[in-house]
Amino acid sequence: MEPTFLTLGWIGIYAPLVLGAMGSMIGCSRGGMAAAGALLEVEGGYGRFIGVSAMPSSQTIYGIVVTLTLNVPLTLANSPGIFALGVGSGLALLVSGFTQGSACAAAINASKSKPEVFGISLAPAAVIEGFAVFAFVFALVLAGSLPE
Amino acid sequence: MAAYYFLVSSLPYLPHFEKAEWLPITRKQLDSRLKLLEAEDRAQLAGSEELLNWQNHPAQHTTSEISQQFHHTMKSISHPALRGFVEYRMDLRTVVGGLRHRTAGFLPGEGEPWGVGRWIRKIESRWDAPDFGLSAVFPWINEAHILVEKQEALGLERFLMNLVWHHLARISDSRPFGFEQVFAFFYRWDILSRWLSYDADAATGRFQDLIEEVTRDHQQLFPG
Repeated sequence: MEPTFLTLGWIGIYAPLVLGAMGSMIGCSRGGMAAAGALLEVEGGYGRFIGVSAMPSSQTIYGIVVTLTLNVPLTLANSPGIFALGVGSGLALLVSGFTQGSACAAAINASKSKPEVFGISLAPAAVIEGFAVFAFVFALVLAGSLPE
Repeated sequence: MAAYYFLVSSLPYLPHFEKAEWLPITRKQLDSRLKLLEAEDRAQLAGSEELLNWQNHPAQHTTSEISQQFHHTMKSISHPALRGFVEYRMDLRTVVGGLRHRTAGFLPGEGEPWGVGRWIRKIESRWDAPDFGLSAVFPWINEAHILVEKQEALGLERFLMNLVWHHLARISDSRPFGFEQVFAFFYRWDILSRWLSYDADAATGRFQDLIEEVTRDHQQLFPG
């Protein structure tokens, strides 16, 4: 029983980082491809499209911070909690990375032909970022109440 | 799937065909972008265009031959949204063809078949009803009937183009960054291209304006 619990604890420690990074990879890939496509259609302002496509990178940073916070000596008492916090927050970061990538791609697609909507078209991506921040912050808050 | 993010973003914005003054992308450029489609999707799109583009059908092409081609094309298209669109376009042509035939005094069941698709029997059974009893399925049929009766060819063409344009807009919105958005763009571009080709006078006028603009700039650069 003990090895199983400790293994779950290790999964919980690594999950936020690996799931967040997976979300960032796919999100940045979607945004990046949309940006590259838009470059064929616009005459300037290339940098801002590439910049927007990198928005889903933040999920990896949140994942690193949660992983470092959960990285405490594992015991039978704290392993289940670490697993729950790590996998839960990791899944939230993964999904937010996917969806933020799609939102960024849509923003790039809209603003390439209508540059004046560039700012407002990023609002959905910012809202998704907000939800990722909720998952991140509450993982940190709850990590403080894990048993020794 | 992933390549659609690149492809969709590389396509320009298409204004409504009645408001557009020129094609935002040439056919050659469009074909070049469509090479990014997966081979199977590209083949299905080409097959649907072969059927739906009326210019591909010689004048002596009979309805039976078109019907055969329709069934052959439907067998080769596996994408549900594209199948739905091809059926929609063929249904639309059949219904409008029925309205035109009836106005011309044609009676169904006389020799050569006059239409293609699943609504033929229903239309023939309600031949004398203004809407063929199909206004619940095709809410636009009464308006099309009026335009056919008044023999307003251009008005009818504009009306049908609008119908297809909005239908394609719904398809495009149904799945962003997917094949739906690409083929919807392709067929909306086709509508726009046809509409602009109708207005040859306006195109000639714009060409003259451009020549004058260039000549004027040239004169300013090299006075005398």
